[in-house]
Amino acid sequence: VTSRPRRKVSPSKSVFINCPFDDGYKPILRAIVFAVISSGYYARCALDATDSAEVRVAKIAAMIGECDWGIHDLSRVEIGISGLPRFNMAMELGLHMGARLLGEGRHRRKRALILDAEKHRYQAALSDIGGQDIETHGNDPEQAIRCVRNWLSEHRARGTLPLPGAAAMQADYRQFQTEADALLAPRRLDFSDLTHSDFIFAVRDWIAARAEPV
Amino acid sequence: MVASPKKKARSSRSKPAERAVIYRGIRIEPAVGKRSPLARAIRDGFREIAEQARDEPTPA
Repeated sequence: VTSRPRRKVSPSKSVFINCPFDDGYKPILRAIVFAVISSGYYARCALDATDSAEVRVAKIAAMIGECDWGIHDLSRVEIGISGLPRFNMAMELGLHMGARLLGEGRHRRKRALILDAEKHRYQAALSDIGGQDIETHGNDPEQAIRCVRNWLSEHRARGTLPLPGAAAMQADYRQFQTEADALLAPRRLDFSDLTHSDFIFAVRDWIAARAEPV
Repeated sequence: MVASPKKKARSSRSKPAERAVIYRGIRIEPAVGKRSPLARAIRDGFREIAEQARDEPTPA
């Protein structure tokens, strides 16, 4: 049995999201994904192929290579139960920056948005990233939408229409959640129960239901 | 006389490709991959909600 080939996605339209995949972070990840899709881009992350938190560095490196854009959330780089911080996000940011600094061709055009929970917190742990696009979301999903929207808007190609404002995007996200919850409740499911893949389709389909065909 | 070959019936498995849409002036790219049954049900639900909203009379 042969499967249909996966549609090729343009790197210029692809945003790699580097973040934790635990339940505590999920509301922020989902808000970021919503902002990316409603800005006209594809949201890519290590969960694309599997909903497991077990991911391999080769897969992540390949995905970073396929995306001109990267969002790296360092807000969970903090001392955990083990007494050590999680370095995965910082390492993936390093991969992205390495591709930009040492890679060839389109890799040199890669752009990164670095997110954290508090302003200047990164300076204590990763001061070398100063000078990059660094924004804080305060662990608030709506603020994460604002950060992503503003960053993508700032780097929008010449001649393209401006993105909707952050307030409009935040309001859309609230409405999307309300309508998704209403559809899921009769199935005894909760919005947070959706797999990553189902969530991506739901965002795209919610937008498509309100949109005009091209 | 040889009968003209019958047009091949479209396979029930081949679906039209997803298209980009315009929302709030922004081109939203088509989805990639295959929807789960739950994702398909959510899509149909969103379409119904949007159609109901369009059908509702706007206040004067």
